[in-house]
Amino acid sequence: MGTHATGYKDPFNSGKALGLNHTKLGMWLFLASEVMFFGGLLSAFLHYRVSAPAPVEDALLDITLVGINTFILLTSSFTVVLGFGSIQAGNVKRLGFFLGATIVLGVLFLSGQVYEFYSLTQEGLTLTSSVFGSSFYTLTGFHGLHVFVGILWASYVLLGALRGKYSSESTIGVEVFGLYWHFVDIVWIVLFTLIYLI
Amino acid sequence: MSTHVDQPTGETHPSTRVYVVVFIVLALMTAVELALSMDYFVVPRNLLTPLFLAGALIKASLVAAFYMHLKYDTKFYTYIIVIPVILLIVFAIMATIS
Repeated sequence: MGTHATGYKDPFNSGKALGLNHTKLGMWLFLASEVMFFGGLLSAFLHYRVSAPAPVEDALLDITLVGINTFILLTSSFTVVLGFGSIQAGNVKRLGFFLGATIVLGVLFLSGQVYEFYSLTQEGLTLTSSVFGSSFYTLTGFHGLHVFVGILWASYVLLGALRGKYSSESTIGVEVFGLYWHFVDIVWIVLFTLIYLI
Repeated sequence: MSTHVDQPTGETHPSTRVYVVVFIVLALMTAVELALSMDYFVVPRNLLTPLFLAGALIKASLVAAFYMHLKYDTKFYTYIIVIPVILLIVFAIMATIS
């Protein structure tokens, strides 16, 4: 019966009826909601930091450890984007290599965070010890959870790559994972600045 | 199969060189920020906060523009992600004033 007004015979299954890829659009909308999610937690942290200053607990934070962790996460964003570049050029092996590197870096970041949490707990800063503790662990913990989900997702994409799911014509699965991972990196850039630097 | 990934595809995708340059800039900025926070340079404390905030904004924008390809994609995606950020800042300012 001819084509739909969008120019596609089957607009829904074309995945591009808006002229945009639906998977990618969905990811961006999800990330927009994540801005508000982290925005809420961050506002709470900053509000309590101003209204109930905790200089003693503030001083417990180890900027050196977190600095190393920040470099690890920045590098992981770099490996993700190199992996995406690889699959755009049709190089599945390189994609696999960079995804593997991303997973290793993600695990290193999380290990660093677990160590940080453990050290802080030993110093007496816990989830229930103070308002600072509650807002700090909730905010950084949820970011860590996002990194954990990212590691699982990277593993899933790696499995797909090994099974020949991606090629230079089929990159959307890698791209959408990349958007998520870079967003988590951006959130860390903001958290690192507002919690540890300032 | 060629081993290089740096294939020019017009304006639609950045090259590997762009990714490398962005990474170096991000790493250098972070190193300088760490040095500043550890008092390696003498900078007035009240100047540090705006410096750090500007640094975070620049780093986040670099990742979004080049690694998330916002610079090369349709502007619609940029609006989707930038509008909530602006709203968040507006709400935060409103909450601070009231």
